[in-house]
Amino acid sequence: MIRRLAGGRVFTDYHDEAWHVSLYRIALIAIMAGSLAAGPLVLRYGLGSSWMGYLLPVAVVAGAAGALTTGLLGKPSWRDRRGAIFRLGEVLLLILLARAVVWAFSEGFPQLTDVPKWLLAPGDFFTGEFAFAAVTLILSWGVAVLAAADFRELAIQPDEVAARESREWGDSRSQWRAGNPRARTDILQGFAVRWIGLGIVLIVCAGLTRVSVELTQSGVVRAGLRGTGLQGAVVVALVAYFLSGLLLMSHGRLAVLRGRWYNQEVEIAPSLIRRWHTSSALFVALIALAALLLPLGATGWLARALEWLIAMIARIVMAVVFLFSLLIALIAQLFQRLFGAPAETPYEIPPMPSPSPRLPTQAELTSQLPPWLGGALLWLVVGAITVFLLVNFARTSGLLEGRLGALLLRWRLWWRARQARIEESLAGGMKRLRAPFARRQRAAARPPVPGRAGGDPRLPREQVRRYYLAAVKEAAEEGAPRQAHQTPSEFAADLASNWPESDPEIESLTEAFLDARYSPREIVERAQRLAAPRAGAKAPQTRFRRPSLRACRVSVLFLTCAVCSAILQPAQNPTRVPGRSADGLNEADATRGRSTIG
Amino acid sequence: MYQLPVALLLLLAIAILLRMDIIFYVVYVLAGSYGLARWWAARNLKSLRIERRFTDRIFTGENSTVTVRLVNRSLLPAPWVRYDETAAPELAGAPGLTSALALGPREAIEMEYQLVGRRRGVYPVGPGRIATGDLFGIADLKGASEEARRLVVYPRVIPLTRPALTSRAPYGSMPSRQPIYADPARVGGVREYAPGDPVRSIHWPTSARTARLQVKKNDPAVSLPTALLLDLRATAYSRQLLHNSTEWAVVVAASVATYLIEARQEVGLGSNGRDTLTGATCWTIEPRQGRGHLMKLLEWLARVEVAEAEALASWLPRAVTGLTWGATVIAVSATGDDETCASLHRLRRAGLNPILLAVEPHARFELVRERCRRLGVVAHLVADEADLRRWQTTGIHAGSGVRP
Repeated sequence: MIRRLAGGRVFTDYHDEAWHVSLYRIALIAIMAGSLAAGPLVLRYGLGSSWMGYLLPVAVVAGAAGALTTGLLGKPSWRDRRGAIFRLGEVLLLILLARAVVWAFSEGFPQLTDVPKWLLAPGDFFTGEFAFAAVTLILSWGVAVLAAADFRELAIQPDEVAARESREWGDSRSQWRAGNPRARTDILQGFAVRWIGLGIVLIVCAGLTRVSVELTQSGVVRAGLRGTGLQGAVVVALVAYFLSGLLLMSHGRLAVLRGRWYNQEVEIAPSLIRRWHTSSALFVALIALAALLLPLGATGWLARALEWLIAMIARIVMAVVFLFSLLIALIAQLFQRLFGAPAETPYEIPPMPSPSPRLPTQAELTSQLPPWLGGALLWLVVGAITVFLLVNFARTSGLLEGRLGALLLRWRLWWRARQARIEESLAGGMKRLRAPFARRQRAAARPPVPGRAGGDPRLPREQVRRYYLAAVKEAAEEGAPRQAHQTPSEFAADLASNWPESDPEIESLTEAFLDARYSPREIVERAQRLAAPRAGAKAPQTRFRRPSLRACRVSVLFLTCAVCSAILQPAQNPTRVPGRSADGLNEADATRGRSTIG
Repeated sequence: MYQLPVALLLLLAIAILLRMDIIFYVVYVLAGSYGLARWWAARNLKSLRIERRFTDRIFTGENSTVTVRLVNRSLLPAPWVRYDETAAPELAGAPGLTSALALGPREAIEMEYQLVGRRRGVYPVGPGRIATGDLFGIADLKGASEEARRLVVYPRVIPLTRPALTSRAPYGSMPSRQPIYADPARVGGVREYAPGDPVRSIHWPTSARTARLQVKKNDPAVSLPTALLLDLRATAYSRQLLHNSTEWAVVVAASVATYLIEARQEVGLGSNGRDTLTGATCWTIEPRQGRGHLMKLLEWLARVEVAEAEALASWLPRAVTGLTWGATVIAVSATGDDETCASLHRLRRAGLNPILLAVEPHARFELVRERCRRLGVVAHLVADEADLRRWQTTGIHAGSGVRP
């Protein structure tokens, strides 16, 4: 219980190592649990199926696995592995073992041509023999687990060790007393009841193979005994079950005494533990040999006497039951005559409802799907669960810690590297494929850059820009070209100096252009539509003619009205600025613009 | 295994109904295990024998090793035997013996444990409790070993060399400084004849050799036949000091008795305390000599305990019946109350030599001593070991009754 770790440190886990490490007990539990499998086997055989004797040694192996893992789970270092997942992994392993054993000994290993069949009809994989083998193995495994758990509970528990150790430290025992003291006698009692109960079930299963039930010509059911004997394996299993159980009882008895003596601080002589198993084995062997010398079957005088006695008791019981039933029938008839109600009207059976209109079946609904899809999905789920449970079992049981674990780890890392490369290449390809679409989507989602060439001419912002450029072009044709270094405001000042009468309009147009070119706020379309019928058709053809300043003014004013209307339309969430109207237009300009249009 | 009989009946019924040999075999195995296990356990218990060896008389502070020998006299092994033997708390050198072991055929195992005599008394050792059973939990049997034996822890004895005890009995074996008790049998030398010397005291051989009359010079000697009377009445002691004072009284009595016996004097013992074995109170033991008698006295002193008994003053006249004239009566009492002193005075007048030893601390013991002196009784305060240590340097005095 006290371990010395590297570096001289001492680790105390109060684990009853001396009790838990016992291959003899594991072997006994495995034999007992494996022998129990003879019950279902012989029952199945009695019902007319084939004899699956090969399952008995496999059941012993399953029992050994259950006892071993239960013992391991009792160790403090395995505390974090206790759980249903681990147990499910074991069960799954047993199921796979059953499948393999049935293939190996009965059905033959499948061919590759069978795989499509399992996809189309997964039920073909789960044959009756396989299911029976799996259930039988799980039964043996479960019995072994329960027995091993009982014996694990019979060990000296850490709180008991702590209580005793604390007394040696000088503490009072009461402060370390276990909250729920172990009743080892009750645990052993439970094991004994289970052992005897399952043994009786096993015997009944074996005995049922001798019972024959026949229906005579007169219609009477007659039960009798057949002369067929039991298989040798069943006989061996029966004997092994009870003898191993007896030895386990002796083992449990030692555990009860050992725990009691430990708590009472009784000095236990090492020879007692050493001789115990030898004595019990010799005792059981002696009894087993002596029993062979006794008369067997119904030939003994004791058996005949007991048979006669049982038959007598059965007849007496039947007679008593008959008399009671007769008496009750008479009393019931008497009560019916005295207090009987008049005959009731016959009960009329209500008419059956009309059948509902026929609904399409599931098969008809799914007929559109490929026939292998259901099976594939089933196998996918089953495979995923199987892999998960097996990997978890292998990891928690320490199977992955050796050379096999290193190999699997290498494979895992190799696969991860490959997976990472594949994912990287796939991601790159997808990125390249998506790039044009992504650009378009980004362009559509992004607000248009004001003033950029190539924009959508239907947008109001673009139209304002085009009107302005058309006006600049007109001015250049009229002899006032815009220099490359000139800003729109400087160019507007040149225009105003050339055409002073058009100064407000030029200023408004420049201001509208600057707003459309650099302002991030949205330019709505309504005003553009108002302006488009007039300006859209005429503005491109409008020219700045030097001799005809009127025409220039008209065109500029027209453009100005359209542009201002387009610019100063209210945005989705316009910010109201003092001195400006709700749609963002200077009130004076707005009045002017409307009057101009009007 | 506890429902095994019911299961056996059920299996037997199934076996008979189905007439299957294998079920009969299983029934035989289970029934045989059940019956044989019970028989075996019972036989184991009968065949186990316990032998115990130990030194049954020790002094306070000494150890006694108890050796228990467990013998299996049967030809069958005993799969498990549990042996328990607990000692009295006053002897608790170890928690006793509690052990579980297995015994082979005709095998014997010895176990040991220590007993420490922490306090005088007579203590039972054993009986040991023995438990055995079968291998399957079918039978659990318990038994006990032979009758309990006794361990006597003698009271502590402080060696005395010269206790201040007085005697009025002449012709004893104890030297004295009083010439009046000159013993004619103890010739210490010769001297010149003086007028008045009896003729029978003339030592003729020396007179003839020296041609002058020489008379024998006898050494004085006294005898000290003593009766030690121990007052163990509970009400005579103060309640707070009851335990310590009574135990100390026993130690004083044992030490004086040991000294006197080793001085080849006759010593008797009596006490109004209760004997733990017989339950008797106010018992006396006739004065005798010898080491065997000393062992008897010490054993009785080990057994005696405080009791609600008759007062020492009223019991004293009966206790000294049969003592010879001049015998010393040493009353070991708590403080020496008036009644005790008066009773001792009556003994003085009856020709005995009463001495009072007070064992309980007394602040005004001088008054008690003075009263006793006037009554002709010698009184000493021996309240602790320091008082008793003084007796290792003083000597025996005869006649005066007063400590020099």
